[in-house]
Amino acid sequence: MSDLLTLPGFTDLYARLREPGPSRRGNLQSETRAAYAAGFTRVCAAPDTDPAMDSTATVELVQHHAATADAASVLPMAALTIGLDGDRLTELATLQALGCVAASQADQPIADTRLLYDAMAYAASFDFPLIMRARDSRLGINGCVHEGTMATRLGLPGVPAASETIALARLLELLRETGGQLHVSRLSTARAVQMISEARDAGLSVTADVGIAHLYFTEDDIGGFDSRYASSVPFRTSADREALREGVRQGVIDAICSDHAPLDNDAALAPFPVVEPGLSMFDRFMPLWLALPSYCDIDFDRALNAVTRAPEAILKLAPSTDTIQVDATATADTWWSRGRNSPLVDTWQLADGTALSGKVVCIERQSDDVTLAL
Amino acid sequence: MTLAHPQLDDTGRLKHFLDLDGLSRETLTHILDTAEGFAPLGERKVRTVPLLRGRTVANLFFENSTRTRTAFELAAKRLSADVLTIDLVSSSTAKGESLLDTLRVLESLQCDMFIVRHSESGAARFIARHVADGIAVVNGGDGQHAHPTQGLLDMFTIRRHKGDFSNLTVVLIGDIRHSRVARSDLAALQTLGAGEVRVVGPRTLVPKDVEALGARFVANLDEALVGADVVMGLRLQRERMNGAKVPSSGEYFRHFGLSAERLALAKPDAIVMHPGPTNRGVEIAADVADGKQSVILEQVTAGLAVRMAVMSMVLGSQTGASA
Repeated sequence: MSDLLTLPGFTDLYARLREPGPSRRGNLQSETRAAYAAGFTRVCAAPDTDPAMDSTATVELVQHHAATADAASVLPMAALTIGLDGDRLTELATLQALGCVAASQADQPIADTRLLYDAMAYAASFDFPLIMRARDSRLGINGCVHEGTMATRLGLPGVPAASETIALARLLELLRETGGQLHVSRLSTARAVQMISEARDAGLSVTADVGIAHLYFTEDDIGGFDSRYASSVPFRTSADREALREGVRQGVIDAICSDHAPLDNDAALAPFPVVEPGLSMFDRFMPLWLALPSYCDIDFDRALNAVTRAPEAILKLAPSTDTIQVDATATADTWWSRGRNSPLVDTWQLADGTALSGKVVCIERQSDDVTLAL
Repeated sequence: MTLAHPQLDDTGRLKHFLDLDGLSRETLTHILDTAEGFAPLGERKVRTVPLLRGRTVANLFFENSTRTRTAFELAAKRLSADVLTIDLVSSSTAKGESLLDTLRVLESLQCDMFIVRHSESGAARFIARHVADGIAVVNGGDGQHAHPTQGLLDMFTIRRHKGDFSNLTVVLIGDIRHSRVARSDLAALQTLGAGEVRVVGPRTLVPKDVEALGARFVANLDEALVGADVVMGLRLQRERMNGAKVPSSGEYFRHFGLSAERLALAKPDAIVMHPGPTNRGVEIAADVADGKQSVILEQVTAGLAVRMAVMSMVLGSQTGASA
């Protein structure tokens, strides 16, 4: 019998729960349950649902279905623009009052700098956190992999690192003008980590996170068109990956999120350039998180902070009163997420043979006075 | 976790033919030698051999093509296979049926081989991974990734004229970035040990890390051509000529067009190649395309022997017979 770790419940800054939307990709029931298996007791729901979370009706529907799902708590994020079209602001203050913890444009870039400026200024006036991915609206928009040697070798359209850094520079310059709180979601490049660090040194109120898969995978994993590694935020070079790890070590990258993106088989089974990007991350998040100290050289306290205190501070939440118990040596048999689109779906090994393990065995929700043995 | 070798079986024989990248020099040489054996058939009155009698080869063309489709069809007929060509460009996948569903339907037609042409990089590999056992997949061009039979017929043509690859200087001109032909040629040249491979073109058409493909970037065409044994033009797609990747076809020809004066910088016995169809006056001057150094039409003929070699070897390996 192995020792159990008792930890506070984790908070995820970015996951797609797919409801409303086609339920073959997942719904609040299936994905919040899968979130438990990852150790998350609170999950920020990305607003790129179908329809987008741009109205009170949609947010209320999500809240209602999440409550009946009776698993991880759902923290809805408001769509920043109507239909995420990048043209018209949503009723941000209303959505905030309804319980949205932040506003986000999901993976959709905003081409119009004036609108972005107004969005940031408007959100700042309500002290509403913005969770924004840095992605240029044109450069690399049709790319499906990092623009590097793998793109060149396989003849795949690339996403240059500059797609991220140009968009990030724009966000940071606007933040300088508007004030407010900006959280940059899911960094992928070394240069972006450096830019966040410099911006903070200059006194800007900016935080950042990285998807856990980006601490493990690089463009090389795509190898022979392995579409299980198709990710909206592209996997980049090993130098970028090392810079992301160093960013977490130094605290420049505050948080680690799941970037969970469950897909149905039809969307995941297609030639690489037309496959819908995304990795279903919840079911292997815990073992990957547990391996951060040994595999990524990120110390345990830093790794824990990146999924607890850091995301809580970004969302202005009180520390979680939930606890989870983890058996670090166990492996789970069940795959909870409806999306099986993951390179780790049938395995507990990384590509280099490193064994993974870790299973959440018990969740205690102080808030609901509930204990759930898993 | 690791995927099985995409194109070789456990004994190292070709079970599919998807990409030149990843095949050994021995395999490439063996295919070229086999093609040499088929080449004289074209000169005979009776041009068929019964190697694939009773076997069915289906051309699955998800993307328009006249030349490649015709060459595969004719090569299969010369091997006495039953050939059907299915035009899928305007067909079911365009109507929303998934590629896998289309594949299942075509499998039900009980074919031995699929020749696949598709507009997405990696499509042939995807189909090979998901196809039913007993069906071989040959890549007839996938997106911007690979066109391995074209790469081989280019090597076949070069070898016929130049023999050994190790002392050769080969120059590829133009749109490397979007060219599956360039990728297959570069992979084969690297594997066959070509002396020096230079690529030349505007930076919009040459990836910045082209060295990963075993080539050296040269910015200036005149400089690139000096001492060349083989000069290969690449097709520039019309949609890239007008202000997108290149400001105009005129400016492109002035800087990167292969003219007779420029060709004079190469070795006197240099050969001029092009995968076709050529844009005369854009990539290549008409008098060069038709000139005595041009082997462009020989390439087309070589395509028959090379495709016969590939098809017979792949299907031969499936039945256990030697190719």
